[in-house]
Amino acid sequence: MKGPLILVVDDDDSIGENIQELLNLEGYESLLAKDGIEALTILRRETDRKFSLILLDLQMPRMNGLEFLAEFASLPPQTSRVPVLVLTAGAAAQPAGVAGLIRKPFEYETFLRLLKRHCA
Amino acid sequence: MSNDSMPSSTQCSWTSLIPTLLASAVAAVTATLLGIWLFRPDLKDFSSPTMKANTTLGLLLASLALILLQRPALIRKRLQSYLGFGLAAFSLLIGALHSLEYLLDMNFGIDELLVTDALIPEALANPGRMSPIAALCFVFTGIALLLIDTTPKKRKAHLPSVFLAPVFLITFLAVVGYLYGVTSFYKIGPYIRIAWQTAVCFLILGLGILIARPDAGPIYFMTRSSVADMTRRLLIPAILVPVLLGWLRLQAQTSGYVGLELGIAFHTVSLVAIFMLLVGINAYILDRSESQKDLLFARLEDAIRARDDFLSIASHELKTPLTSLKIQTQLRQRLLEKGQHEQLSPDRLNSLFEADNRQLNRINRLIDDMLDISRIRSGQLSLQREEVDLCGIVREVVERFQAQASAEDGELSMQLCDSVPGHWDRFRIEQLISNLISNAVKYGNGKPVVVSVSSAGSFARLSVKDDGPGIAVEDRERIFHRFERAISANLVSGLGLGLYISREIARAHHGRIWVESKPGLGSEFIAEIPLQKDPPK
Repeated sequence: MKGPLILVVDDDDSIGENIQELLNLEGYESLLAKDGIEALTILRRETDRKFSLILLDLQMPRMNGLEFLAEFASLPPQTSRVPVLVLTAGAAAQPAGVAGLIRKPFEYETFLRLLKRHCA
Repeated sequence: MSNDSMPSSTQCSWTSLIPTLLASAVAAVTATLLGIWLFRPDLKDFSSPTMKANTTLGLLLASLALILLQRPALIRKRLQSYLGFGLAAFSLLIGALHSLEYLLDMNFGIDELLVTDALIPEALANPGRMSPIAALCFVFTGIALLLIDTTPKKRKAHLPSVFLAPVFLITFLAVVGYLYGVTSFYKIGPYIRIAWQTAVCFLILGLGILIARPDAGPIYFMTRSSVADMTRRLLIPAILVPVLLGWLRLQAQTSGYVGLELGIAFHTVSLVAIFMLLVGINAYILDRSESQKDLLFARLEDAIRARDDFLSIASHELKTPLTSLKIQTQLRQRLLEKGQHEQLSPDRLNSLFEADNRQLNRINRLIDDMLDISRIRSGQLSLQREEVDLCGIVREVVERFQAQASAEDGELSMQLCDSVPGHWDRFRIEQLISNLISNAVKYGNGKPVVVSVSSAGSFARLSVKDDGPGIAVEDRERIFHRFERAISANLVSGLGLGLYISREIARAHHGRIWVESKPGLGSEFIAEIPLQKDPPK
């Protein structure tokens, strides 16, 4: 049985891998992108798979989270309707059009609760 | 000269030296004249107004008082100031008694207390009596000396200056009169006159009193660093120019070529012209200092902005490894809770701890960078020099990077290098090399990075060449500054301190570091470090 599919977008290898490990343990499936460009490539490529959630870092090289969000909005509706949770280590406010914002480092339980709410 | 930050008790400062010198000069002159009065009156030239014996005594006492009242005290502070105020009071008494003699038209018998002065034919009415002008000057100077330590409350007048102002006016008038050869300036009627020596001595003494307390009164305002430049430029012309103009007018008019009307006209016009010039100079100086201030202010704002940016970057950078550690810790707890012990086998745990250690090292490196910044700022980047081989260090760093390289990183290679021994701080040189290499890898767009080491004369040369986007001309200096980075903070992680710290390390080794680059064709960072501590010049 496969769990909900989550796209993790984070430039930090360690954080990306750890989040994937967490998701795996909690029964989610995940794909990892290292920046906005990779994330868009994956979303455009995996059109036959249904993403339940996107976990998006804001500060990334090449294409950052905000730039990704602008591109993301112009994707086909079935993709652009996927909820986005922003994960940031900075002090930025929650960008418009996203489902929520989690500040790093976060509490496991809080994170899990948000995952459950948005993947329902 | 600035006395803003100078404590008033600074030893041997100009504020104690100048008044002492001035007062000593007055004391020497008056003591000599008093000696002549007492012992060799035959040497005196009575053809012009002379300093009276009582005047010499009064001035001697006043100048000694000023020497004693100087700060810092030479012997014992209390004793010295009691003595000083005593002498000042005595000279004030001399002036007051003579003033009273004139006011009450009496003779107290003090005029010829020291010497008989029957030698001046015109002064027979009151032989030996000092002029009322001198008597008045003694009163005012004495009061100024007694009040020397009063510090004015806000918006209240500085009392010593108030009492010295008439002294300056009277004596300056007399001095100008002597300069111009106009007797009416210093001689009103047959008896009211003041000797030029007396006038000059009072001027000097008054000046000394003002300078002796530079933390109050006009000297304080004129020597503040913000206006000292202006004072220096304007003070001398403001005194000399009117004196010179007056003299010119007098010469022109007495020669008969120029009448009164024309004299007044010329005098007025030239005074206006010169005042305009002084106003212009003043405005120029003010404007310049104002724009300097603006520049400083702008730089300050930039520095504050850079620091604020740095704080937000630094917290972001510190939070990233913390996030990894926190997820990992809670993951392990979760595994235990779920009873999935097989996921926590010794082998697995071992690799997890290694990962933790990498994140801890990352935090530590960030903090070290920040500490280095404060070390550099306080000039404490000290080197522990030892004999090291640059090739060896570079090889170690390159191997370490090669071991950690991920798939996207470009190939990192090192050109053949035998040995370049030098006398350096191993840890700092290693830090410099790894900063340059990590930058090249970070900005190199996955293209190859080549490191090479060579020795050129008394220098070792390290080059780190990447094939990245290159660096624009206007950025080539900026990237070496604190908290700066080649591209905006959003795009690349890091504190923006690596190149700054590397340059400071090169500088501490008396070397230098710079970048050569063509946009689109990669960059080459080059460090040149002298092999020995003191390179041959």
